[in-house]
Amino acid sequence: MTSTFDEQVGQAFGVAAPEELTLDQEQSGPHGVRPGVGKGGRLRGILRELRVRPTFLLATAFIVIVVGAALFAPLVAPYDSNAQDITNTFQTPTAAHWLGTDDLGRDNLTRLIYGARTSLEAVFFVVLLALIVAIPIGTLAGHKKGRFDLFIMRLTDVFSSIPPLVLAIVLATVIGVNAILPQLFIPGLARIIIALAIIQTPTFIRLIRAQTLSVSAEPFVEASRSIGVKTPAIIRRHLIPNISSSLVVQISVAAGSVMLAEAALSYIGVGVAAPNPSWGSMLQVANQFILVHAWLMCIPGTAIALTVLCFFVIGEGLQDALGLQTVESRRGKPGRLGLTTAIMEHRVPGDPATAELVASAREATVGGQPPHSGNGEAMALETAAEWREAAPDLPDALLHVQGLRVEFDTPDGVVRVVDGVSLKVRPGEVLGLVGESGSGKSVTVTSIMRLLPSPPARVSGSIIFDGRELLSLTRKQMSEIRGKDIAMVFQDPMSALNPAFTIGNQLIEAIRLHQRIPKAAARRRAVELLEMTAIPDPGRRMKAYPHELSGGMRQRALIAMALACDAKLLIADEPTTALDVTVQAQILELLKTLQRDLNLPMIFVTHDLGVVADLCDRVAVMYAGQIVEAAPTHELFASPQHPYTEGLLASIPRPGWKLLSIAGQVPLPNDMPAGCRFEPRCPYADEACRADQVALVSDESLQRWIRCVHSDELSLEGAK
Amino acid sequence: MSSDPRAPLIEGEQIVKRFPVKSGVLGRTRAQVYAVAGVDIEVPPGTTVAVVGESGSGKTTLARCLLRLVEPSEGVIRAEGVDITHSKGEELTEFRRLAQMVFQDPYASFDPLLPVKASLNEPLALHTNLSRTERTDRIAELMTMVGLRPSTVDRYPRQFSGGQLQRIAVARALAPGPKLIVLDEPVSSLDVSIRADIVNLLADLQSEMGLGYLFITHDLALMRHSGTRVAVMYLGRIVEEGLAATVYDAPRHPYTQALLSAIPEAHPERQRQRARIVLAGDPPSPFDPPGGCPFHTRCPYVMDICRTEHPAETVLPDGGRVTCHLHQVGLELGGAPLPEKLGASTH
Repeated sequence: MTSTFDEQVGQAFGVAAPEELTLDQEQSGPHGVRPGVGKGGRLRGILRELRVRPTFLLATAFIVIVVGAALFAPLVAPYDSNAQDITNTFQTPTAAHWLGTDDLGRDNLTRLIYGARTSLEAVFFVVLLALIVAIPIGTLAGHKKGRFDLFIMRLTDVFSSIPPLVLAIVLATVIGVNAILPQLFIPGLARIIIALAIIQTPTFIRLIRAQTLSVSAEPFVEASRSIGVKTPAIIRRHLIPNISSSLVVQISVAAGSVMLAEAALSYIGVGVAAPNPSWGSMLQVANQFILVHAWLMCIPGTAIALTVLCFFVIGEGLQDALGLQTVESRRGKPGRLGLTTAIMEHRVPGDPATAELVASAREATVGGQPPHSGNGEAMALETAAEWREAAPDLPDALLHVQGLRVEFDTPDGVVRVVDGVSLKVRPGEVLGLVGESGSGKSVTVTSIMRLLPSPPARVSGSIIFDGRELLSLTRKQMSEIRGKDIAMVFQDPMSALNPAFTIGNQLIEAIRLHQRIPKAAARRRAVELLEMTAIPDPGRRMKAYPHELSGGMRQRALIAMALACDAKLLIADEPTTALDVTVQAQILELLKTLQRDLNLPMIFVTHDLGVVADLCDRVAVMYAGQIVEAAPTHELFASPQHPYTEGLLASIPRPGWKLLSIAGQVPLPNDMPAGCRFEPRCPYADEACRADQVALVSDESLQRWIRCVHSDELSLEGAK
Repeated sequence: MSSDPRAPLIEGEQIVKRFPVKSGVLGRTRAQVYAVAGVDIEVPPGTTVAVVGESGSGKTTLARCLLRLVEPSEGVIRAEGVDITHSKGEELTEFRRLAQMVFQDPYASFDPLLPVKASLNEPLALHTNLSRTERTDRIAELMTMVGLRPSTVDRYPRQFSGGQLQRIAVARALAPGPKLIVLDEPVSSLDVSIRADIVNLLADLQSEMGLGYLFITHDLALMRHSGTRVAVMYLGRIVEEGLAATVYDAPRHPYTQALLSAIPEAHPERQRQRARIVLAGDPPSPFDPPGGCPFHTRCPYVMDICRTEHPAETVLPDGGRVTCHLHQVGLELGGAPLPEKLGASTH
């Protein structure tokens, strides 16, 4: 090849041809845990969640039976519902009458079945009418907001202030028992339907409006508006489908409450008129004879209770299953920890993944008990011991991570997100951990702090900090180290600051958690710390709540908390990524000052090579769960040894140079190449790269580490 | 509606956007927040204009005002010379055809329940008279134009990577055949190593189709291409505007200088030896803007007049603009002439 290195780089890292770019997608979905997740996949996911809930299945089966019986009442019921038999009143269950007879000798089972028909008819029509009115009004109010929304809200407020059942009774009485639409409804049923529909509609309107508000705020709705799509089409095409899952839950809950309401109205006597069967009127009759023939009461009572219960159980089950389908999770966007959050969401019901992270995040800065028990402890011990034997003795390292491996249990199998990462931080040194999405850098540092919820995560390897093996510590021991010896600063400061307490309060709590000093002394130290982080007017800022501070201030407060206990190591996970660039410059200056004055070693996780060039002494580059290169900063930038590093440096915009990219994308953890993980995107790859997994090797001085088969032959471009 | 082909694709004249601050039981308006406080901007046909600023600068609000996604409180918006500030109905739909938008987060800008072909179909169905088969063909054409395989249109947004989905967003913006595309931080949420794909795609499309772009970004470095005009915004106003090369190499406004200085350079030796301007304090909130020049609280060259009077706009000899007393009244600091102080390269 006679082309110059520049040309090679230009060719190699230029924009990929269309075929190349999309070829990767043939095998697996490029993002998200499960390939091929589309509408079908979502439905399957929901069904899977429902299948594992036995109560849900039972409840559904029951409702199906009830509905089936009601629909096919003439076929199923053994008798005519009005067939009286005066000689046979108040029978307990017999062969002829499975549920006995009532005060006029009518068969209870038959009346129960026809009563079910009445009650279900009421439920169906009430919900239908309420939805027909509530959906257009609710979605319009939630989407357009403004005066219409205000008016609708005040209207529903009025309805909410009236006790619903009282209103229903009044309405039902006013409407009267005269048959409305006698072909469709038995006398008295129509008035219940109208009355209850009027009650139910405002509730639906409020719920639909609330859901619409949040969906309407999503960028894809704004995108449709910017295309020029009119409001009715937006509501029909985008809003209603996206609120449909919550709507389904609301409907099942409404079904239960409407059934109860109908029974109550009929019981009082403003519902279905006798002798027409309904569960409510059966209750009323039974009530008259309760002291003498108690059995009669059990039948409608149990039926109502069970059916309503089943409706609620169904609603709850759907909420759990669909609750995982919030707009965010449907998007499939990787969370803060990349793949991790997506994985964790599938394992744990509700959204505890985020809750965990909040609790963990808070805890890392302050210290305290971790949320989950670590079952990984026993396993880690074994491998840690093995590792300690194999590892070279490096007494000068404050933190020595070896062979760190993090796996997650997912419904699709075990996913390994971090695969054999080894790091070293010496006293007073700033180590930069660089990587893009899917590199595993956040998971790595989070597992150093032992903050990953241990099922579903499994952490193995060795993490030796200050001479102690962290993976073999008990929860209590780890909590003493966390926040005190190792402190962590996160990307989003709001996730680690409690919004209900002033920062002064939180600082003092952090200080007193690890040092036994009186409150006044702690307060003085807190002000000192705020001064150290260059927060102006620290005395006054102590009384501020987190939301009263700007992003930069919050991050300083967090750094202050991290310093509160004279930490020996600071881990910063993209602390400036979410900040404006001028504020980032301030925070970086602060960190540099602190690092100098306190000789504080740091691990700085970032994707920004500029920040690394500014702050770090050593750099480790991560790709697809592994370290691919580690070197002192100046050397890494001047002469990188790994093609990925070269590509990263080449993709930084530089005036006068064409903007370059690395073709292809990061492989998914469950779909790694058999050989070198970067090989599919590497311009220098050949057969040798595909053959086998590549080991991380170092040079004699142990300063440079490289994971590349051709590192000796390649001569790569550094930063210009 | 007769449009002038030589007129700017979009032009904003003295655009102001106020948001009322309500408080109390009756929601009485207590004060006004000026998200955009009087901006003049235009995008000539076939050119790229970048609006750069940090949070609170008003750049996002300005873009949305220009597209009528948010109604401006004051000011005039013209598209190809035609006043569209109060357009409705047909006129507005026609404007929407001509000016499209690409959003920051590709995953959030697509309906997660629809396959991407439905999202691509939406603008086609609305703005063109193509039959269903014609639309399918056009969708395939658009996908190829952005470098993706047409057979993947049946997939859902979450099945694409960020870079690919953003390309589809560009395809969707191209669907109605616009002349202007507004891009709101189009690559900020993508990995650095694949940003070039989108940026180069946009450049290619521009040269092929003569598109105009309005680029909103906080990443100055990305916009350093020739021919691009850059407008720097601070607290709702444009403080400096000019050709990218000039703004970069010879910034005229202290804020621009500080902004450029704050961007860390991926070169350890140069980065650590650079003279850095680190601004004191945080970007002020639009809720409580400082009097006089809004930048005076953080400006390293602040003079007495800056605290009391808002500077007028100075038009510079090369066509750029700057809003700073230093260019009106002159420097009273250190005696050095103005151009030297602010014209020095920060790289």
